[in-house]
Amino acid sequence: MNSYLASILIFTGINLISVLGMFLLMGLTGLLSFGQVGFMAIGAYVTAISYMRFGLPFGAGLLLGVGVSLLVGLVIGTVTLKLRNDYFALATYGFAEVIKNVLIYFSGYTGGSMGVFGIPAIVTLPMVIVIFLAALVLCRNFKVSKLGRNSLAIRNDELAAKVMGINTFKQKLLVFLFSAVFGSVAGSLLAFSTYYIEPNMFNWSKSVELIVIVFFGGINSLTGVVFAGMALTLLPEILHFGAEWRMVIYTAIIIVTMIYRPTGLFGRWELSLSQILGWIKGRRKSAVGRGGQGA
Amino acid sequence: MKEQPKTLLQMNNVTMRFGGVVAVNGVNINLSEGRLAGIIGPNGAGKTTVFNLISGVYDPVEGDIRFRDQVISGKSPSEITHLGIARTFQNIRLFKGLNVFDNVKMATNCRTEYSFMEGVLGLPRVWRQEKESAAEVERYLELVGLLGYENTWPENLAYGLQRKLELARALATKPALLLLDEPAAGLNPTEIRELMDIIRRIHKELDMTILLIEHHMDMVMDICEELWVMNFGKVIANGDPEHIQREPEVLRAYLGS
Amino acid sequence: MLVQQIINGLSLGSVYALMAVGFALVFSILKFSNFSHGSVIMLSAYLGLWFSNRFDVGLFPTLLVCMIGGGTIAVIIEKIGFKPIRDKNGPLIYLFVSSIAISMFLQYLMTALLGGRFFMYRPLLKSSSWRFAGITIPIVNLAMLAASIVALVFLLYVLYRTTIGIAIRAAATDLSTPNLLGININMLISITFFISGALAGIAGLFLGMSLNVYPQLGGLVLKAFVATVVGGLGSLGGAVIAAFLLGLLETMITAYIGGAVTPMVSFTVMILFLLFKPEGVAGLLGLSSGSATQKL
Ligand SMILES: Nc1ncnc2c1ncn2[C@@H]1O[C@H](COP(=O)(O)OP(=O)(O)O)[C@@H](O)[C@H]1O
Ligand SMILES: [Mg+2]
Repeated sequence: MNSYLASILIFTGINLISVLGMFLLMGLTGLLSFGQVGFMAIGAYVTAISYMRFGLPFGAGLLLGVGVSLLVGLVIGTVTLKLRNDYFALATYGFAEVIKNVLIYFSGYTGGSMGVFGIPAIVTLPMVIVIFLAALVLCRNFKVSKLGRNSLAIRNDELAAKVMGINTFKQKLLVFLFSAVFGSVAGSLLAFSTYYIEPNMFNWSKSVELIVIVFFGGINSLTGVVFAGMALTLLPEILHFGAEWRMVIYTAIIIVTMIYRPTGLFGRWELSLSQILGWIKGRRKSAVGRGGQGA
Repeated sequence: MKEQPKTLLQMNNVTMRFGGVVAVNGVNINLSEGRLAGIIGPNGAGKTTVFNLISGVYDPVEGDIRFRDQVISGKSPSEITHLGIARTFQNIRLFKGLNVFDNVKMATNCRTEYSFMEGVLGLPRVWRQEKESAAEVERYLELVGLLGYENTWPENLAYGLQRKLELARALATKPALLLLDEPAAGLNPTEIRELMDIIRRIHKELDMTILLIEHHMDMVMDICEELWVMNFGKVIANGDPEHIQREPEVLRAYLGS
Repeated sequence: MLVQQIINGLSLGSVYALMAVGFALVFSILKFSNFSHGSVIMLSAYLGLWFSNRFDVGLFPTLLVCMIGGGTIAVIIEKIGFKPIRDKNGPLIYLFVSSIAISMFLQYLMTALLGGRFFMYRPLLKSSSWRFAGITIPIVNLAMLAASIVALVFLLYVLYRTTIGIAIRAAATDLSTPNLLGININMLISITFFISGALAGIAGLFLGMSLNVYPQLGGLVLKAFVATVVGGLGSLGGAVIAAFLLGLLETMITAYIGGAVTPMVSFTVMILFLLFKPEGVAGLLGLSSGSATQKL
């Protein structure tokens, strides 16, 4: 395959993994977070530094990143998840900014604002695809089990959810940690596919991008979010937008979506495996039918 | 000698204030197991606040609440639900993002045992329990007469059906004590008669203790075995319906004389 | 030296107070954190810059234009970005997301149109600084302090002595009350946004004059946010006090410790308040306020 195309697809896959985390957190549970990018940064830096400095293999570094993200997430989540929704959003923004500042400040390990250079491109397209599909399956399981119902109930009416027996704080914390894992893994993959990482890759505009994708695809639709993730990551690459106009268009999309279609492009619609199989069968049948008539 | 029924719920001298408003003022309630009882009183008397206190939405500023001899005041709403108390809301609070079926199914969540990890991994136990819950949900939907509406969104249901859905959702937590906050509000006479039948069936067949708040006097007098009358945050009378109807304090509260 | 820092701190605090009051005003009636407030500040700064250059006028005409411009921009943002959501009874978080999207949109739009360049106001004041008993204070700081205090006092008058002001305060406790008073809710919301935007216009002009004009100028709205949180949700008095304290704190830290840690300190103060004193300064002083933790 063309290596340029491969690198775009790798990038899209990685983006989709962190989008999935955002979908669980913001889409299903209604927790608007600007902290996702902080966990991406943790994953990227932990994996990169442990590889470059301490010779830890990529896989082990990725798991170490997940571990660190879980620890940090536990602290941040415990502190912030009791706040009002907009305060939570701001607190997570503060968290991401702190992470960025720490990366700049402790330049001995992180290379400061220059970042870490010369990271080998270990990540391959099949690897990204496998991890993405695994993440997708986890998300689907989440959505169709009691976890998804708990989250939707909390998003809709937290008090009623509590009264119906949900430990809402615990559920929110678990989702927060779970999505932190998605972010961390995405960050690790990103570091080992782009040769270098720097603090500015983990800006709040990155968080906004993830939020836009989830709202655009639909806060209730896994299918919609995956579609929106692909479209909004691939389109600018294909059309070669300038960086500024790209953000102008992104933010315009979210405003229009919020106003005219608050449930997102796909609403509540989901594509299921049986539907796909149904289509394939249907097509085969009609092909056979036509063949029969011809004979 | 007749066997004394066990006390299920006990409120001892419970007081609740909001700023300067004393919404509930030194209330004592002793509800025996197996009763179908009611709380009546004018608007603003503090009835809903009593429910909010029992279900843990608020913690009382004074007094305590016991359920099966265990103090529950101070516990969180979800803990209290796990102990066996469920309620409906006066201003219907269904989950708009979930369809009718899932609104009821989410209430069975508090009894499913699989963990977060099992859930996301989709292990066999998850599917077994999901299937069991689904069967239960169908039973509750049938009980309240909502079969056939499984895939409807709650906001698209007629008002009377929304009230029934609230009832089914509360039942799905399998409570020992069911609190119904004005279940007949906004219903027409036919629907009220239907609702009364459903409540009686729940009481008998599911063996639940029921405490309900109502304004429809004929309904209350008809189905309740015991009543508490509240006014200005206080319980002003307690007894069986015949007794209550003759109580002068009650007449005064209602007629305002 | 210390006196000089205190005056500088107070004047910084006074601009924060202007921003915070506008922010808190909208919060008090619509109950969401309106981040598009920052773009009103930023656009007003550009507007003032353009106006003062184009017509070669001094501080007062520019101030007037910034106020009217800021108010108008805020009302337009409300009509386009919030009213459709309110009409559909959308959840509060949608208004919040919309406000963030709008502020990002305008910031990136200005960057795409004009580039990330810094624009400088030409001097709108006769002298640039004031020397007295060995201390030097930039005149723009004094003008800022004076204008902010006048604006705040005028706002106080409007809120407590006029029908509209009373209606706004009534709407803060219950949005349906003004209807009872015979005032149209949408009109009232527009007026609130206009007042809030006019205050942002003043802040924008002075921030532009002292910090130059650039697309990210609106990011300073975070200070207003911190001040309203520390002040106590939706409490105007609390927000003003907190804003002055924040201005002083930041100036002192910058002067005696170093500018690099300043943002960290303000955020830390906010988080500490959220955790331990969610009812904020207003709560400490016994003024009314909402709740920072998730409502039950
Ligand atoms: N969350 C609250 N905040 C302030 N006041 C409240 C709150 N809940 C109830 N009240 C007040 O408590 C009193 C009793 O209300 P409520 O229990 O709803 O009465 P009822 O259900 O009997 O009509 C009323 O005066 C009401 O305004
Ligand atoms: Mg009531």
